[in-house]
Amino acid sequence: MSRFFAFFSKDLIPDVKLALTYLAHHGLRTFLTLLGMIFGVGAVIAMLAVSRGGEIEALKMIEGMGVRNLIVHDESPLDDSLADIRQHSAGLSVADAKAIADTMPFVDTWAGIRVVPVWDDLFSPQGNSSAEVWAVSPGFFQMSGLEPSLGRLFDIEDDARFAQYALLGDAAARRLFPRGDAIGQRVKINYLWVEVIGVLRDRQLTGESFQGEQVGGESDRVYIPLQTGLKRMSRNQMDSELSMLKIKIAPSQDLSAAAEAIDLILDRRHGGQDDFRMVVPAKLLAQQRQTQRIFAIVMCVVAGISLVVGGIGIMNIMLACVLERRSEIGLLRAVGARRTDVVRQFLIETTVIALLGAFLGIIAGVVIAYGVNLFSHWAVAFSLLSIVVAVIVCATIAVGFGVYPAMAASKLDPVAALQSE
Amino acid sequence: MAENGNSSLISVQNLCRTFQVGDMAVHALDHVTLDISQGDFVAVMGPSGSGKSTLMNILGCLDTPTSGSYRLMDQEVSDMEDGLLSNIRNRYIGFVFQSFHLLPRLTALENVLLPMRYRKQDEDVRIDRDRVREIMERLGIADRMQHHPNQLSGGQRQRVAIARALVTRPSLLLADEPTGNLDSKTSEGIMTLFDELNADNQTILIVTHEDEVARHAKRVVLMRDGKIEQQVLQQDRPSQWT
Ligand SMILES: Nc1ncnc2c1ncn2[C@@H]1O[C@H](COP(=O)(O)OP(=O)(O)OP(=O)(O)O)[C@@H](O)[C@H]1O
Ligand SMILES: [Mg+2]
Repeated sequence: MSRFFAFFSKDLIPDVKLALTYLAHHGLRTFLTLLGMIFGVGAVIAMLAVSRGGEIEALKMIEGMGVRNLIVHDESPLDDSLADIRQHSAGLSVADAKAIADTMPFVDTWAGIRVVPVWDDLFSPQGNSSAEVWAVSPGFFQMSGLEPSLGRLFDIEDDARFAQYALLGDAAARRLFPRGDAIGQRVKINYLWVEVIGVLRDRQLTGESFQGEQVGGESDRVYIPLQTGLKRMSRNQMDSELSMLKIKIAPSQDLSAAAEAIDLILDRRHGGQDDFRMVVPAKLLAQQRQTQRIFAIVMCVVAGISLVVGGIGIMNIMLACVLERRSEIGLLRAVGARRTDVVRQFLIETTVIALLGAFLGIIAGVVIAYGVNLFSHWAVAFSLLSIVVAVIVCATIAVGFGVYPAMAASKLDPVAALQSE
Repeated sequence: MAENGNSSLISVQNLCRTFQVGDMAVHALDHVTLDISQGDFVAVMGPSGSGKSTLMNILGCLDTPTSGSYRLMDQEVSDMEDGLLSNIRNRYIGFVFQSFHLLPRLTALENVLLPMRYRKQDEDVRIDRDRVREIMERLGIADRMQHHPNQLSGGQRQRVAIARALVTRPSLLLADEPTGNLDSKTSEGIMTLFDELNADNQTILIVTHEDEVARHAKRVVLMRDGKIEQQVLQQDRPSQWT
């Protein structure tokens, strides 16, 4: 192996220089040869950038939902079957949450969420907004990684006395109080006036939802204490108490086992009715990876085909070069080049072509990735690794497809080669 | 090393080179026996197809004989493998061709230095720049070092090619019709150069059709149908060959 490298590294500069002058002389031909390479490498780079971007984004989303959280959604149907279900099940409720927390030692905390139906825009003395209103347990914010940028959060006491307080998401605050200074001001939700005690910091999640689960959107939301939402806002007879239940599982506990146990309790408490749905954010990550993997395989195939086509293009052009330069090869042999020297010269040339292709391909890949980002809003992230991979793949292809023409060149009979013009 | 007190640079005995063309065997060289000693200046003449180039290619280790013996500096080279032959070409042989064979993308200087690329790595390959300059000055092309071949005249191109052949201090300078592409005045210049080189004890073998060119050699070999028909010293040469 070291001999192999010594063979290449020996006095590289003049050979590389010579290779470059040949390639420059046939500029257009070289470029056309390189296209396959460029697309192949471009696809690899773009693919790696998009899947890495997706991964980072997914992790951010999962963190937004809480890696150790389980989320139970109320799935009460909207049609006539609801009446039947309600005979057996009262729907997702605070009592469910308490039962789970009491019987399952691995539950760290929980938070109930009720999405309050709003029949009109929210009003403040300064403006209005169509933000969603969520009534949430005081623990909700900490579980979801939300922090106030101004003011404070609710505490248990506020919840217990149905305090008419509100916390505003960043966007909601800007709409309701365009002139700022929201703290201490009042907002009207349906017929209820609530006092703003805090504004939440924006987490800047790019997506609204991930694998079908709502994640972002908290910025354009108004939060009130759960009990305020339950006791002071009207609720239909048939509606379940909670729209969502977030349960934080102790770090030592396996998430799927916990999800199964909780599912079992809820199933019993709901009389076997299918009116809830459990989401394990950590599992969504696996789903997301699966989707990414399919995408990656498709891109790899495209890249692979491109690279093989590119390699064949290079081989083709090198064979043409060998033919064109027969008399030159003859001369090199006459002044003392061994067969291996000729092989080396041509392999250096193919490698220079391939590295040029890799370089342009990397640029193409970056452009493609940003293009994808621009049109589909998929996140992209570049890594040094992907560039290293691209260069290595190219060099390998070059050597692989360059060997045959180089050998052909070295096997030419020097006398015959010298005579050809 | 010398055998039988023989101090020949080149000693060829019963050399044959046969080309197989379809069913027919072409005897390009047919039992050629020839000695060339150090400092000799030999012109090979003869009609087209008589085997002059074939002989030169074998003497230059570009081609190998079908049978017979070829000793170069008392070493049998007729059955050497390619790597060794390449090394011999690189060290001991300098070629000059009718069509110059310069690499068009390299400057004159780079062309001249081309043989130095194929020296082994562990060897001191640093080229004596002064020597290159001296050679190029002697050939009158020192001011053309940075020019590309297409910026040079035919005579200048051939001088660059000769400089390339001389840069390795070869034991044997082989020239196959070096003046074939040049006008008579330029030819005369090149031949004067060969005379000077030979005066410095450079062994030269030249293939030519031209009488004026052959006149510069010390010895003339006439070939016909792959055989050496006549070998004479210059002064014994009849005024016109038949
Ligand atoms: N590669 C080859 N294959 C078949 N026959 C060949 C080959 N090379 C040379 N010959 C034949 O060998 C003979 C000698 O050729 P060679 O080139 O040595 O002649 P020459 O004396 O140099 O002629 P010229 O003065 O025209 O250059 C010719 O008959 C030629 O046809
Ligand atoms: Mg000839």
